[in-house]
Amino acid sequence: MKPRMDVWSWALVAGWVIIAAMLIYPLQSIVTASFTSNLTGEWSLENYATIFKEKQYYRSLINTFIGGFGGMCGALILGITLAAFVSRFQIKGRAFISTIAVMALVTPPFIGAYSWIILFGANGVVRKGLMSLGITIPPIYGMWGVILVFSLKLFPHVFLLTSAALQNIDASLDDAAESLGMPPMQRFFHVTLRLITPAVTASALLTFILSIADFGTPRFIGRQFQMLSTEAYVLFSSETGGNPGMASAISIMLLLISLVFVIMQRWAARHDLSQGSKGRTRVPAPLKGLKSVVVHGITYLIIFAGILPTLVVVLFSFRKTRGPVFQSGFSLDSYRAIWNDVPLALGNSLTFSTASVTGIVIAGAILGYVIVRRRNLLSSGFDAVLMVPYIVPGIVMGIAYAASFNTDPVVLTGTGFIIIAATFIRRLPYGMRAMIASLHQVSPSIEQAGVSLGYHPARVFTKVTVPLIAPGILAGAIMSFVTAMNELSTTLVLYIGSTITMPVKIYTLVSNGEYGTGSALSTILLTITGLLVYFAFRVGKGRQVM
Amino acid sequence: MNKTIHGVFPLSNIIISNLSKMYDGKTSVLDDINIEIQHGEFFTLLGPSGCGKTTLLRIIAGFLQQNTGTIVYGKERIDTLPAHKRNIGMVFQDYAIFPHLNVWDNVAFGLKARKLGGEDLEQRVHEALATVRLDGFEKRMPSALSGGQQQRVGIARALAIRPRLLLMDEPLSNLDAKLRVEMREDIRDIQRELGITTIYVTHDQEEALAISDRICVLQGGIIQQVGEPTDIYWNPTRIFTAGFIGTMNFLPGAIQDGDLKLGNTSISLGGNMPSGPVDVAVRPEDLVLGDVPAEPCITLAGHVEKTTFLGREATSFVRTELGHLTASIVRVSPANLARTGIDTPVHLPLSRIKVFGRNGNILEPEAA
Ligand SMILES: Nc1ncnc2c1ncn2[C@@H]1O[C@H](COP(=O)(O)OP(=O)(O)OP(=O)(O)O)[C@@H](O)[C@H]1O
Ligand SMILES: [Mg+2]
Repeated sequence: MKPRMDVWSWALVAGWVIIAAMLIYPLQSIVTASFTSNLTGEWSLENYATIFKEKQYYRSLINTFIGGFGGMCGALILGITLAAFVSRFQIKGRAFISTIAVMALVTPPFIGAYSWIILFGANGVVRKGLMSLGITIPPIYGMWGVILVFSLKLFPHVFLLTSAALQNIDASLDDAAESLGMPPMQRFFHVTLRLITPAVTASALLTFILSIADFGTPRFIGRQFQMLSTEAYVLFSSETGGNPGMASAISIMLLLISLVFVIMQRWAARHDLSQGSKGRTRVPAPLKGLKSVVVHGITYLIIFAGILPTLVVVLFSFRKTRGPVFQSGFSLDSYRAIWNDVPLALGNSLTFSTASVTGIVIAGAILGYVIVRRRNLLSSGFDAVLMVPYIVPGIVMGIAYAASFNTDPVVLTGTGFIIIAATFIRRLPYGMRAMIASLHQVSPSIEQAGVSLGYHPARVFTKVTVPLIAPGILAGAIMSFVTAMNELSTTLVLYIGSTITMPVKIYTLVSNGEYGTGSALSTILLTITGLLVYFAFRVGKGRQVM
Repeated sequence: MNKTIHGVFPLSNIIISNLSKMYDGKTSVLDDINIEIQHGEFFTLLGPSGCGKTTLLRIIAGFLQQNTGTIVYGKERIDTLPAHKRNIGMVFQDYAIFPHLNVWDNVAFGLKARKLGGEDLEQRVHEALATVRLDGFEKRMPSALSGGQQQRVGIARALAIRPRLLLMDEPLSNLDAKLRVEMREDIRDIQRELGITTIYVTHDQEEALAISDRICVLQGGIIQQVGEPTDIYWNPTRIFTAGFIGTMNFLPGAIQDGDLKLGNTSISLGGNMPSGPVDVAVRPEDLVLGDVPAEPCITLAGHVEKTTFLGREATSFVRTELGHLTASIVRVSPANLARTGIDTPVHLPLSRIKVFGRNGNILEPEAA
């Protein structure tokens, strides 16, 4: 007997069509471009050869690894330290710390870089202040600056992932090691860290991929220290017409590096370390005396460094300015100066984000359902393909879209739709994960009950499944919305004047050294983001969605 | 009696023919299933975990597709209908109550699918809730109900649509022991009252014996035996059935020259039988310790190793040269409880023993 083609089979087919058109086709077109000679237009490896021949490019390649590893190590050290302290000791203000960590995840990605410029740049406030005291420190630009900013920007990811894992460790294991005579530090490295290996390697992978995909940070404070992401952007957007072949080859390099790291992480986390039965969880130990001062000091120093950029941005948005130069005293000058730009940029951001998130919610709910409830080769393959957007840096996706949809048959460049489509495909996997997580809470027999009572499966989905996963869907939608609102790198490649968004506007202001107005716009964006995240958590499930 | 069900559907049997199911095209889970279920019958699928009970039930409900075979209700072939058009009620092991709907809306759910409204709907919901004795709970949310009450809602919800067939997959296995006994009586009463054809799945043999009109014993996807509870218990035709239902003692024996040979004893069973090794089965309550009973017996030398007092009865563990036997002592007295550690003959009444060949089929003496 042949299986019937039901609604879900059609949905899966539609899903594959979307993936083919919106993911495989654009990526394939940059693969082709990367293998095409700029001179002859024929198949060639010259673009790749150039990366290794020309100093500028292979420096960037090396820098990509330095920046990626540096950011990863810094974020791991800060994040794990924080997580270990918070899970081990009775730290005051835990809820505050977690809130800050979540907040830090959803602040616009490039705020960090230019806040540090405001503080420690050539004319940085702190640097100048120190200079007037006779202390000279080098400006933040260059390799160390990039690594520092990456670390401070990304440690909240590590903190959230590892502290969840630390909470699930059976405390008896640690006690067992202690009774076997192992001192505390050794216990932490040999027992605890080993047990949370999956979370640590996942954090390492995530922070590495986010570092090498980051574009704003090396662009703003890298100076001599440029990375592949910035090279790709410059090559693609240069005023002299650009060099699509090289931009594509560099994009593919970036993708390959991410891919290799994904595979390495899979390998490192191949052992299942989950414990059969979960025993006692650790009760945080009380702190006294000097130890308390040190632990609290380090914890709050890390947290402070994490939110400092946000504080600086908000504070400086209210500083008096004359042109781009900050004056002493406070005013609403910056807000006044950008007031006329807000409607277009904010309107675009809201429209594009709403459109792409609507798509994500609908496609994510339906396809997430298919993946959970209809396991077969086609749906598992779909699940696997959706890993791809995770490893495609935003700048690469932007370049792929710009390269694919600027000629017949489909011309989309310069439209808002291309930005919506790119955001949709980049964020679909995240949205779908949220659906899948909440779907796992709904027993299949509940749906079968609906069917056996006489409703068509599609009606059961809307009448039973959707109401049950609605809180999860809503929280997931809000989180997708926040990331869509903050998306910079893809949009930067795809926007034209009339489709400018808030992050792109902020980026151009900051590029021109207009920190005051940049801060004012950022503050507006931050406020909207903050309110949405607060709402997501109120709706519940927000924590699961992260 | 027979409130409504007969009014809607004519008397119709369910005929499952040559049905088989393989997962992933290789592992056979159901193999050539042929069953005819009478209208109004309480039919139980009984078997150990993994034998394919749920699979068969889900194929009947339409949630799984069989590889071969047909399911016919009366004259209508139903296995080609999609699940939501089969009009088959289903009660789930995990209740599967819609957690976002109150009791009333849960029960009304299937009626709304049938575009029922107003008075009709009200009346049907009330009727169903009254049947499971849940009147007064209409506005409750499922989270405020006990497990037993939730399962009642599940039953009411399935009954409200007046299905032609009711399927229940281990509906009581999540309830505690006392409630399980209570609920199974309720289910039996409701089923009798409505006369609704029911297929019930359980791996609890006591439950199956207590509740069913007929039982189908399944093992490894193959039907072992179909019969009334007494039949299944007293006249197992397969060695699996004999061992699975109740407690059974097995002793290795052989047929030689038409007679049964057990240890040193050789005895005629009153007819010819094919030669070869056999298993001899006898129930603990049929064994007689000590005094020789009036009827013809096989007698083995035994040693009582242990006697366990269970209140209403006691169990003796007896070692014989052929293996261990469990014997029930129905009339418990201090005297026979004290028999531990002594030697005693064990008598196996000939009328009570079953002989199974190596293929698992029962061997009956052929009249010469
Ligand atoms: N989706 C599946 N894919 C492959 N094999 C399956 C699948 N579902 C069930 N099986 C196998 O089919 C066999 C029968 O399963 P089924 O669920 O019907 O057993 P059951 O009799 O209901 O058992 P239980 O009493 O434990 O509920 C089992 O061996 C099981 O492992
Ligand atoms: Mg089952």
